[in-house]
Amino acid sequence: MPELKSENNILFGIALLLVILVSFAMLGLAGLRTMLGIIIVMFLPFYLILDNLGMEQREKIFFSFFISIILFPSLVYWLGFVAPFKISIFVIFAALLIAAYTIKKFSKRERQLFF
Amino acid sequence: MKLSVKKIEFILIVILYLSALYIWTLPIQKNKLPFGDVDASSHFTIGDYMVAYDKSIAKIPYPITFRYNGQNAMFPDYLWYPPQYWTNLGIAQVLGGDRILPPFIIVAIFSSLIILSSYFLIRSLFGFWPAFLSSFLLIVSTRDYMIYLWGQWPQSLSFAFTPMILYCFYRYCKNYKESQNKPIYLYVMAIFLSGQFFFHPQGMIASVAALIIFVAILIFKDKKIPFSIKHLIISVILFAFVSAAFAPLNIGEFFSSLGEKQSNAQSFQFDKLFKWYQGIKNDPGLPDFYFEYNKAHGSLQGGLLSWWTLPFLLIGLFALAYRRKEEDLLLLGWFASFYFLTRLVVFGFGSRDIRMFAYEAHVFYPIIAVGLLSISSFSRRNILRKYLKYGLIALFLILAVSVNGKSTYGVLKGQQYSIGRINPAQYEAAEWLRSNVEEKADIYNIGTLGYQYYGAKIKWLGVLSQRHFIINAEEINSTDYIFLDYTDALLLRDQNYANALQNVEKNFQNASAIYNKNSIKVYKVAGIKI
Repeated sequence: MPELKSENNILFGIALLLVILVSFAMLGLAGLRTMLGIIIVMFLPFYLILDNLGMEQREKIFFSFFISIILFPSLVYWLGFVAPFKISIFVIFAALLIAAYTIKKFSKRERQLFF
Repeated sequence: MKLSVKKIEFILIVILYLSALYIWTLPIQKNKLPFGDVDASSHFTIGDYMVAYDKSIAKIPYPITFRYNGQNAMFPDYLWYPPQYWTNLGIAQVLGGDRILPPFIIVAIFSSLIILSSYFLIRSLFGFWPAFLSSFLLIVSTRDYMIYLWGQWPQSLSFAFTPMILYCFYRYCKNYKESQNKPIYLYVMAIFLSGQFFFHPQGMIASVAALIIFVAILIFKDKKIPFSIKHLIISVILFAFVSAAFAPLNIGEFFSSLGEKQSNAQSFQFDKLFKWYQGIKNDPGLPDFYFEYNKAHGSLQGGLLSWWTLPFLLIGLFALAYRRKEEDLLLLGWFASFYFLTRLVVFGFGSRDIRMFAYEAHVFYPIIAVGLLSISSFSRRNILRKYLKYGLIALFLILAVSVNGKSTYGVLKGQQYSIGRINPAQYEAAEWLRSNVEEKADIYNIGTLGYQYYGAKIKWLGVLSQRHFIINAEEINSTDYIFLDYTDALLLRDQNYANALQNVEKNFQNASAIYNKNSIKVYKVAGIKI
């Protein structure tokens, strides 16, 4: 099983490298920053949250991306009324990472509640 | 590391989507300035304001208030759509570190997301090849890239959620039927529906209609309800909660506009039930090709070869109706709902049913791929079936590239230096206005292409300068500045155009230009009657 996990990591690494190379070649530094920013700041926290909910790998990837473009701006938008907009982006990012960590910690109990 | 089929698939889909991004970002690869017709500039400006002022905004900014004020019937001064799409563009600006390019990259990603969501659904229903082929064809879908160029961006993103919603519901029903309760799929579906409501309610209506028809088919087939009422109620509450919590100023507007449309419904037109496009083309905002199958699903130039997908579509419909497995019924349900939604006027609802044609390719292309691949199953010999299958796949790819692909590439590449886009001199002048002219200044444009008929470029100048560019005749008397622009006349090398502008400029001989650079002049004209 650990071998399988590391193979998956290599595969994701290859995919990420492809995305980095292609976005830089097509759209320059701003393109690269945008793509990496979307992957790391928006997609990753939701992926880590869904990782605890017993879904298939491709469900986790697709669901987290689609959920991130709904909920991430929703949370940033509301926080942006009380805090600077740019800072709100990183506060929400950090809050979601903490949420993912907390859910992981209590995942067994969570799973019992959900399923 | 041995490459399993799943891993090869994964790499292939990454390459497929990166190819899609290459095609869809063609307009911004060599020209980093904005593009997009109709409402594109307004979709850009809200996020742009949030970043510029470093705070979220709820009210419509002054420069576009003349266009959108009152469109949110319940809160007339407030944003006319939920803010999520625009906030995403603002976030992209911050993450990408540039004002123009990052929002356009995220727009390209969002507008082409249907390629991924369709792959996700069709892969789970019919396997790799139907998913790969239909997504491949979606890359070069005329309907989709035209909507992208026209600037109906939130609508595009909203429709991309429908396959995700269908997937969630299908998975939930399948588990429910096998007595494995997995309500999580229904809850995720509720969040996706809220997303559609945020981005554009048209997508939500499309999803709900497809779900209703699919449920009706399942009830008819199995003689029982395919879901738990308790789970459904929880997911409806979740949908209502997320929608109300994140778009409280817009939820009432949606329901009130539903009522309005019903009261404005046109008279019954039963003949539309028996026609696909004929008699439907009645929207002056949509060009003729939108209602011609070969141009909408082949090459924009038309021609006989552009009909190549139609036989496969018909075979696909036949194959689905013949097999009638649950996955077939889901696709048929989606198709049937599309048929009804594009003919709503027949049933006395609304007058904008033709706008639903926007997602025609999303429904057609998976059926076309299923139709193509089902041909090989006619052969009884295994070896022949295999050769036939790969031969058909090769034929599909060749036609998709040489007919649809060639046309798509030409159109999107042609946008790179289109005269319809803001040029560097105009962008520089707009930036100057943003820094040097009072926030509530009213500017009248003379000379920029399209100034005679409220062209998109004037709207872009307005949002880039974050100042109000007058586009309604009745506002002319409040003009504070004249923006006199020779650049488009010079780029078109049209001497008559330039001479006409010079004649207009003679009227401002007594005023001095406060900006005079790159063939653009700005005159302060307060008190001068135009």
